[in-house]
Amino acid sequence: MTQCEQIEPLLTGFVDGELVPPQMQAVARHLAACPKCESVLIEFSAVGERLREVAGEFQLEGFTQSVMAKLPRPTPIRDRLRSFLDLFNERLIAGTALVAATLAIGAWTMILVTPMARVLMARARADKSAVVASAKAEVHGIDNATRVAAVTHRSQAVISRLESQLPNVAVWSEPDTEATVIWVPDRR
Amino acid sequence: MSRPAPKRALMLVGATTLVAIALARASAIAQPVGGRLITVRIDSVLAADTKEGTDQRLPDPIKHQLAGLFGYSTYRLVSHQEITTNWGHELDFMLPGGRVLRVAPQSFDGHMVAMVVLLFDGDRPVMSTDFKLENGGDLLLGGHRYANGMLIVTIGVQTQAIPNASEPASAPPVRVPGSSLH
Repeated sequence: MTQCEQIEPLLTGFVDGELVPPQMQAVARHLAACPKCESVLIEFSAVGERLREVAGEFQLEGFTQSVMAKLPRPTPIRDRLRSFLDLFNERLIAGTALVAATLAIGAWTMILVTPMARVLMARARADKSAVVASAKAEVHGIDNATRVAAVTHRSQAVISRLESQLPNVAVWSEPDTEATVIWVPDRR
Repeated sequence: MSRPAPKRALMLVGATTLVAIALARASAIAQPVGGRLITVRIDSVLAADTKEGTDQRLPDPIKHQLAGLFGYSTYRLVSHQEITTNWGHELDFMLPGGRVLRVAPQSFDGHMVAMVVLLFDGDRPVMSTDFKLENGGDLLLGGHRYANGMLIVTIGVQTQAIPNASEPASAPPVRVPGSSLH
């Protein structure tokens, strides 16, 4: 390998001042004695100058402002609060409607399907005649139920104790007539 | 450590007052009323579905109660019994169909009459009850099959002041005669 071939790759670094001092000295000593490499060096320098002229300097002034101008602006807290409340209202209305619909469907299902609801409705209907107690076989005392009935429904009688050996003794009161009935059926 | 004497005295007075109030209240509740007589009225009504309507001899309140309570088309008064007495007597009423109703008025609080009622089927008691009935009110007792329907018995009470209330009442039971209404 000739000396020019060793020096030529270092010429760009020499132009830019990027070589270590021993290399700078070696390249400079060679250029002083070699017109060919010197002409190559002149050509590199000219190319570099032309590139700098074309590229120019990158302008950073106003860069931040221009970037920030393109970013979405933050929403004022009042607007954010309003939009949150709107969303909440929408969800509240939707949620309420959903719960109401569920309850309605559940109630209808219970009424139409479940036997317990039928029993409850029958009890509610029967509440007017208020059958409140039925003594079972060998029952002694339906005191509380009877007393509750007489207090709950206005009645001329307040029963505090009732005992019977019969299986189907019943007591009820009728608010409309303020009457209380003790039903003691025959032994079957 | 013993309490100071004034505080103990205060507590003793308070406790004594409470006990006295409780005793007075219990006494007022339980004390039979002197100076008043009581009339017990037993109406036995045959309820049936024979479409004969309601017996006009029945008192209007009883008609109203029967119509409001039951769904029979016939209510016929079978017997009417009435006994006027003072407090502390047991009154036996023979019901149509053989049952016996024993009524024992206990006390009167100025508004309601406390009484004990037993129902016998022959010698055997089938029902026993304690209740209070409004003065002038009725209680209905039913469930016994009779004739072609059901027997419904109304138990009514009415207290009345003894004309000369200064003398203690000791009148024996007075039964209204001719009570069978077949």
